[in-house]
Amino acid sequence: MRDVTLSSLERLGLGAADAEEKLTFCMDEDAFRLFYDRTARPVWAYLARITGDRQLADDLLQESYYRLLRSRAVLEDEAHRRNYLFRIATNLAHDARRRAPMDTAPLDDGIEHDQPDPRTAGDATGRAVRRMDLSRAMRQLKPRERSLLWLAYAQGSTHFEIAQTLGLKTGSIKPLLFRARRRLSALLQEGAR
Amino acid sequence: MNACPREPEVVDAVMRGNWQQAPEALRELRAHAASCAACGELVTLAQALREDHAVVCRAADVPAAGTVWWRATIRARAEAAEKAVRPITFAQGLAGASLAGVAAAFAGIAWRTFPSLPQPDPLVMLALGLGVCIVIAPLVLVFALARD
Repeated sequence: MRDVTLSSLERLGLGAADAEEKLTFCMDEDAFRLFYDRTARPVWAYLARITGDRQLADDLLQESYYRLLRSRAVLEDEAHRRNYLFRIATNLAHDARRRAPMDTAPLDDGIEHDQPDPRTAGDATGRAVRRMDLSRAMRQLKPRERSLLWLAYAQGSTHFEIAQTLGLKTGSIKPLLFRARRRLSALLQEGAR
Repeated sequence: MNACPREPEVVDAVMRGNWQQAPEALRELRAHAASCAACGELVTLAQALREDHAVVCRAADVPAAGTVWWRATIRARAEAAEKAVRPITFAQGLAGASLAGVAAAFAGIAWRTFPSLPQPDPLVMLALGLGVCIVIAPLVLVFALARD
């Protein structure tokens, strides 16, 4: 981005008021802070899981909120705003994947596994292995399948919310989700063998 | 395997996190999931994804809301400023191209004042002038954009 400062606006005869007028965000700072604190971690988790790239998730998180702030869409309530944010995140992740397809090989997503408690070390190890298997299987799914499964079962979104996020018809979610689930299950069983 | 009509109940119970914590209340549903292949598979996957979600959310190192807001403000300001100077940049490019065209025309006229030099066809001269414009205009635009 070119480095254009407010002083260059002043040279053009545009005052600070004109510049501020162009900074229209869809919510004020206080509302943004509240909304961000409630949604940032789930959005990051979603981006990290569907892109498989922690660094990319960091970048896309910022971009998603920026686009939400600059959006001119009429967002009626927090649920609507949240769905819209996930839709932006989904589109950004898809665009990023088109530029650099996801590598299915690496397993380490950079996310620390739980530190095992010595008393329950067996459980912790089992959980870590299950998460690794899940991570590997998720990477082999199609992008839309990953999004569907994550939204439905990790976040507990309704079919209507998933449809809004992925730009699909509500009626098509059930069969798509069922197929994605069957595929993930098959991949996990393959991995276990 | 076919989908089961009780899947929404199962998903709801897993999402509430009380699939294992409240076995009495869910005894019947758990018994159903144990005997239904679709629901059994759903419980396994939903629990795994739910657990993964909790771990990833805990591990998420997101920037503070104030930082994201501040960056958005800076970026929006820069974009507004860039948008404001765009017409001037365009006008500069146009002026540069016109200047190049005029210079080419003058060069043509000056050339004709020397009869000892070979005199090309006027159409060739015109084409040459236009060619110079076409070549120079993008260059002038690039320089104008790079200046800021």
